Amino acid sequence: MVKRKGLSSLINFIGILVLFLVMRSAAANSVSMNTLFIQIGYSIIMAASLNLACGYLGELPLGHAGFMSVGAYTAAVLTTKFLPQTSAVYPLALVCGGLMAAFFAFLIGVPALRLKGDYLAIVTLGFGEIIRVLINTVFSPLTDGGKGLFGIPTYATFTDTFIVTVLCVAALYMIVRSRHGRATIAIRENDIAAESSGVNVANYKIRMFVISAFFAGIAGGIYAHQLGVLTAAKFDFNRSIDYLVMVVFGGMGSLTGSIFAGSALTIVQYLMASLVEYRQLAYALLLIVMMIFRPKGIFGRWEFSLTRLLVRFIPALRGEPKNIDRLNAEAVRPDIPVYEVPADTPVLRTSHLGIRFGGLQAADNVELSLSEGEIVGLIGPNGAGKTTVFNMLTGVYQPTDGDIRFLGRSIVGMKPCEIAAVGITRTFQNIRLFKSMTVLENIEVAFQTRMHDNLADALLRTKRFRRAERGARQRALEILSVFGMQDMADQRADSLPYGMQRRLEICRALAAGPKVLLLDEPAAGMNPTETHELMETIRVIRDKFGVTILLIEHDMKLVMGICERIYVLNYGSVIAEGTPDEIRNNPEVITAYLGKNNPVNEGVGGATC
Amino acid sequence: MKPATFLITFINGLQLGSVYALIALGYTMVYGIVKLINFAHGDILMVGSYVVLFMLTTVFVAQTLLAKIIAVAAAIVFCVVLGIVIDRVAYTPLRSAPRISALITAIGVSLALQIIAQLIFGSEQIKFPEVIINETIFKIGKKPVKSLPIITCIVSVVLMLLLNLFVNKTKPGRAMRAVSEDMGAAKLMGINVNNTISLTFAIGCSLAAVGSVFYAQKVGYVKPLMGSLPGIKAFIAAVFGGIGSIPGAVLGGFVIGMLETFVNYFASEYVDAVVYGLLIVVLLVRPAGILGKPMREKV
Repeated sequence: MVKRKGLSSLINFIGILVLFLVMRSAAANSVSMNTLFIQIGYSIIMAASLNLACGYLGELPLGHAGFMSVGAYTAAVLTTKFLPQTSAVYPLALVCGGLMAAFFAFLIGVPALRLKGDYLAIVTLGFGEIIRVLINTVFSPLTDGGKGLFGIPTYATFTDTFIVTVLCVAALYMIVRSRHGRATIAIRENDIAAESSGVNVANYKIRMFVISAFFAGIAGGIYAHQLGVLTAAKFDFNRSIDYLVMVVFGGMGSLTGSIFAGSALTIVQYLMASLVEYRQLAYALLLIVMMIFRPKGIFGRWEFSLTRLLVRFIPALRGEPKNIDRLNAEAVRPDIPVYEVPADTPVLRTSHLGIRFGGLQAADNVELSLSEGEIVGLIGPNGAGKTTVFNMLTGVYQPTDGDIRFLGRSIVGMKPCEIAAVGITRTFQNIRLFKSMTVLENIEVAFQTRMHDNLADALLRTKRFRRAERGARQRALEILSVFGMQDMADQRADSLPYGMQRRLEICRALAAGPKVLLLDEPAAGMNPTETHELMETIRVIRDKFGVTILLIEHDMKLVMGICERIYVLNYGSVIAEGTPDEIRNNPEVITAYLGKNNPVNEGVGGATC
Repeated sequence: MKPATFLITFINGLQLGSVYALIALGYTMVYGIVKLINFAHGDILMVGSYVVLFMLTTVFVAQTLLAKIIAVAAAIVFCVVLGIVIDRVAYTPLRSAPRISALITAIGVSLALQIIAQLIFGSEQIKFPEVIINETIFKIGKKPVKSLPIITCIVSVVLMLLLNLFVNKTKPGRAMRAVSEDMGAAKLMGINVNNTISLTFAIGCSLAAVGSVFYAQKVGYVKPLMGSLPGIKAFIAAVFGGIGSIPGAVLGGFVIGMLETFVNYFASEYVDAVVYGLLIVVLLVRPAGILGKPMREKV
């Protein structure tokens, strides 16, 4: 593996330069070649940017051509009617086109992305249709409406298209390979877990959708300045589908795939120009067949790396960077928040907490109080409302009654990601990992609110970005090593055995540096040996990470063995509270678990569910 | 707007609304049961009208009443079979795949239907024959009230009432409701889930086939892309009423049909923009739709 940063950049630069020279010599003598290359350029930008929203974020925008049209018209109207007639303004026009497309994406993304499900698909489909109407009606003083916008200066040349395409794809790559990209993929994998790990899901969805549209707008600008004439009808649903086919074919989640498919299918389009119908039929069937037999596309999520390829053949390039110690020393680790627990204040306290779903009072007047460093159990029969309490504590549900105070401060009304940032994290009853991400990445996602590098740092690969990334990796490995999992760091999360997956979830919850850790049935599905190990682990976590733990568990051996205090919940209310011994002999608890008039009267200690 | 014009527009709105409601029912039932936006549903409408056209121009020489009845019946049968085949071939293999895969497949199916129609019949629009008598029944002021809108409304309402009875009072209807509530539990109770889903597609497609006759005759022509716009509008109607809700689809269909007809009277170029605008407003204000229930994911 080459870790010499400068060398890798040099290799890529030379690779791109060679590609450029080869393509330019091919384009120099042939007008049609030139045209084709420019078409390939903007098709690649379209496919790669759609891939960000579709492959990485997991949404399905069906109006990508609509954003392209916004960018095309914005840029073309500027260069044709407002800006001086010189190609020097071309980059400015492209950026303006991108920004305008991003603005429209923001307008429609806010209502549509707030919701779960397929609404974005239908809203963007609608947008793609409406925008053509608007171009021909409302905006016609600028766009010249249905008769089309003529006389656009044809600034697009092979050279600048090549440069813009490389820049756009590189920018997308930088975004995807950063903490922002990790957050985005985490949303695709499991949005609830992402939110509970501190990722602001709504914010990221909109951000990525807007970025995706921005690049589509730039591609539109190139299109306009190649053709020299624009009509709204060109940006129809079929065009959106053409780009979707490229993304699906190349691989949802692989920019390499988008580059390949963007080039290959544009060439196919060029060769089959007179057979439009057959091409479209082939595309339609390709979509169906791909989804059924190879849903991940040709490349899946694989990315091509020139450096990796060269290193395989030229071993001399291999080597560790010389200054690795300095790099390690300079790494900026994610923050570990310092919590000030005011004297005589519980770390977490609920008062009169309740929630009602329609006619069902799922929790009522729940009063919990956790002191610094305690391990507290929350038990109760199935359906007693234990997980509902967790969901209220972490903001997944908003309580309809009462208050939750964390370190004396009310956290009711906060979003799950905000609560994670404040210092309460959790695991889930049915494991929710980011399955296709590696073990290490699963943990790194949870550093989201503890890192300081921003999107610009990621784009420019600044020192701050590299230090933060290195620091995150170090911290993640440290957390893993506490659990003896450092050797699995690069495995896919869903390839781990069940017990390890549960542990990884605990690691992820700890990564955000919480003060309170909520464990929802950590021993579920474990055998007695594993459960015994888990008890040890929980104590270690408390001591090593200084957290206060509240856990839901049905395994009475575990609960009675490690909890210092226990709350018993039944029908949404706390029916008992006390030490394990008190709970074991509490007649009300025995009745709740075993029913009235039960001859067995030896206490719940014997009843292991 | 004069009272007479208003009444005529109102009747036209009911007519369009009935067609939308018939299509929206197919969307909402399929969504309710397999949680899939069946993008190809609008194109079933197109297929239905081409079958009627084909029967009445190529198969039969004279357009007798019997020929018309057989043509419509053939359209229904063809659409039902097509719907079931689409489900079995394209959607069933993806039942447990990510939603986005099923959605992309549905788009592929929709596109394939359009292009196949284009290859067979050409992309030009073809005049649609008169299937349903369209005579003036009476006049409001000087404006004639034709029989087509009236028949459309009556037939649609009767079909919707029958559907309601079917879903709520019969054994297969109960199975459908059970599968849409919890597919796993329904399977354990001995319900043949795949057959129930096929039945849902069959009912949705037969309603679309009936709708296709009304729609094609209203617009007066058929063409390969004719299904996508009413398809999208009917989908919006289903979302408006609450996707998954049968009464919601009917309500949504009539609201969208009425809205479209009145906007069309005042400013025809903005019809589509207003309908999509309504969709965005609904998603902002009441994402579960007017009659829909908000769904919670279990954590």
